[in-house]
Amino acid sequence: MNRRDALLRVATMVGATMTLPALGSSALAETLEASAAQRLATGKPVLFTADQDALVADLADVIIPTTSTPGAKAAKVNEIIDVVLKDCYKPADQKVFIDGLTMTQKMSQDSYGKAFSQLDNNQKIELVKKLEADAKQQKSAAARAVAGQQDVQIAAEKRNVTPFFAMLKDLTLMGYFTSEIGATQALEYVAIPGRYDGCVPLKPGQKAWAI
Amino acid sequence: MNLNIDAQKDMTYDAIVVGSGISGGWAAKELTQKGLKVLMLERGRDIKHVEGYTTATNNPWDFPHRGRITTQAAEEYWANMRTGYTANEEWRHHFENDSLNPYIEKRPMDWIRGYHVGGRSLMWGRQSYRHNEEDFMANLKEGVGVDWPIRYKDLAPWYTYVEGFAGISGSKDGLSVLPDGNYLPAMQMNCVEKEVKARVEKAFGKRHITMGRTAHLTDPKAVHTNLGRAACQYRNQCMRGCPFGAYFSTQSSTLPAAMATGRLTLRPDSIVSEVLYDEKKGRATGVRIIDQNTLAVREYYAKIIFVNASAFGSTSILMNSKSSRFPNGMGNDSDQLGRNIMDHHLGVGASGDFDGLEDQYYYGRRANGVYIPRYRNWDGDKRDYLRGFGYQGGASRSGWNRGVGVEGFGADFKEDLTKPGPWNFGIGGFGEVLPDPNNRMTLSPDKKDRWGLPQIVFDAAYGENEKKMRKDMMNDAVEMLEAAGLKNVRGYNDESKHLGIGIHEMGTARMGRDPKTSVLNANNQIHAVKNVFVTDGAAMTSASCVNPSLTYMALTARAADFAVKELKKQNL
Repeated sequence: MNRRDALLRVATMVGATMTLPALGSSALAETLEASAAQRLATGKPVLFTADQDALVADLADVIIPTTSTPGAKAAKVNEIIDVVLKDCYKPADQKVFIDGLTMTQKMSQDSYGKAFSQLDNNQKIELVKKLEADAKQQKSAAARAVAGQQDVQIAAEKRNVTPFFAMLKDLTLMGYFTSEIGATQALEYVAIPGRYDGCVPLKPGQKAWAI
Repeated sequence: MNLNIDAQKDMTYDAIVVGSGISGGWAAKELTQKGLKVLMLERGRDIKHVEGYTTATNNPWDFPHRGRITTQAAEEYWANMRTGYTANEEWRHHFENDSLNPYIEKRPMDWIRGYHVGGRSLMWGRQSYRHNEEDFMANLKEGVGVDWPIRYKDLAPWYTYVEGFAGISGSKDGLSVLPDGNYLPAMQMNCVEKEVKARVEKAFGKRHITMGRTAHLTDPKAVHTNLGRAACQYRNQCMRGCPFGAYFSTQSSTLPAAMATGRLTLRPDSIVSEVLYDEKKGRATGVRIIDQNTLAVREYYAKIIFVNASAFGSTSILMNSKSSRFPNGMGNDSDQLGRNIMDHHLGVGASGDFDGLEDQYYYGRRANGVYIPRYRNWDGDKRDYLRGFGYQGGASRSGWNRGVGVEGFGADFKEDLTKPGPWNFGIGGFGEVLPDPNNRMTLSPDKKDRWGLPQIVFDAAYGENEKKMRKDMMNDAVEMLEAAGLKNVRGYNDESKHLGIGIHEMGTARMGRDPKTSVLNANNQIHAVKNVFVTDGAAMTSASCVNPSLTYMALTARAADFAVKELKKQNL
């Protein structure tokens, strides 16, 4: 992305709902760049518990399943979500995410009497639809609260909170399409194009460029 | 022989260049090629060409956070966070940690720095345009600031010269508002850009869309390949540093050329604290430096000194160079040193969706876009503000990112995101900022940096002229995009940004005709200290609305030529 693209991208985001967390203070002492290396070396999550890590992998695979190309689980999207959530999100947003995972397991138990990983595909999809609907409801309530509607009671500091599913989906898409599997199999990745052709007829089955 | 004299000899050069960015690199190249023994001082660390570009060949999945910014980095790079892109993981190591290098904001200033060999030539936007004839006369005609002491014709041959060496690709359009130069072949527009160009030019006779003129080699000549430079590979990862040397930077171009003469000494980690002044001789004798790592203080001496530390850097050095002759900073007889901060204001424009041409795509990542030259207050047009603006923009098909903001998940959702998305086209304005003596920087009387040097205090803001212009910048963009048949056209005018956001800092040591109202003369010499030259953004008398770096290159080459001629005449 060059500077012009970056500026345009930033500009077009103005006023739009940002899925990135708001930036604030952080008192993390360790070198943050070490998280990815730590995860790689130990094989253990840096923020999640093992159960949470497995749940994120399952959820991500519902959002981006295996189709003609491998899905989010194959691309180990849970690993990058673990690292990015730890290093790039404020504690309050991390809590929203972790609470969302707990809530998901509770919904799974309440609705089906078993853990999310034990659900069949249709049940998983139904549950994720509920998560998506919850997020949508949360956003519209926040919007109405901001607009000053009296029937909505949401504390000011909670109005800007990105709902769990919005965070999960954003991180899953980012994690998948920037992974080696996502970029080179689901999309088409050319490290060194070598030339620029401005007008190329689309070939049947042409995939989008990864970057 | 006296050891001290020997030591002094080792510290003595024909010329000292302070700074190794775009203009410093040019000074070093020109002066060494004209036979001078040159010392180039760089305040930051060394970054070697190619091998020093640590992320240049990374794949997206090689970045620990896939390009995202850690909360710690966001806190430390607080000024960079305002740009929305310079703190990204891909190239953050080329920008400065603002917490370690603080500055003081009486009024906010977005100051984005690159303290390393090559300076911001490693991360610049590379758009390269000439100022036009009017740009050099507008101040005089309108009674704004002071008159430039030079005209277009004085700089034109130097534009031609630097364009040839740097390698600028572009098309010759025959527009007086955007003078043509010495170009390599232009890059291509994509299908939608061609279509929008045709529609806009049909709807508005006097508005033009041309290909961006950029410092990329599209068809390298011997002058480029001899330095090891190769053609642009269309990776669009320029700010990480280019392993092909395809865009102009100090590392790819001026540094190897200067080194090839055998007359350049490059000393990184050397923070120039002041320019030394000899009261009896009435001239500068050298500079004092602080080694950024060892804190050792040393002095170097030369017949001429080129100060190319970037606009605010150069001016802070001059301000810190106090003597009984110059109690308020070297060359500051006019009280103009530090005043007239300019930049280009941006964050205003429009984008829209293009219906059709779904069967067309593009190959390669072009680190360039289209350009709409200024048309306001030009050729009979008259507005309620002075000067004008240009737009940079382009068309592309959206990628997987479009999935983030919409509902959906699962197999069909994923498959859809793997296909090229709808076309969109957007333009963003770059507007001229007028010089205002109240927009200024000073040195803090008490706050010091890590090396004990005074921190810079900024007290500057956009004026009414810029605010009025921004209305046109948004409305015109919407109007043109709608006339071009784009759908869902969205205008924007983000007024939350400050001077500096364009990373085109200018002014603070302006050129002028009168020593009473300017710091530098027509040859970029300090009026009262003729062997000190300033040829970076600090020298600018007005800003134009075009990207400024090409003008710094031309001013530097011209001043270096003058300096060497004067040296030979023993006038310096």
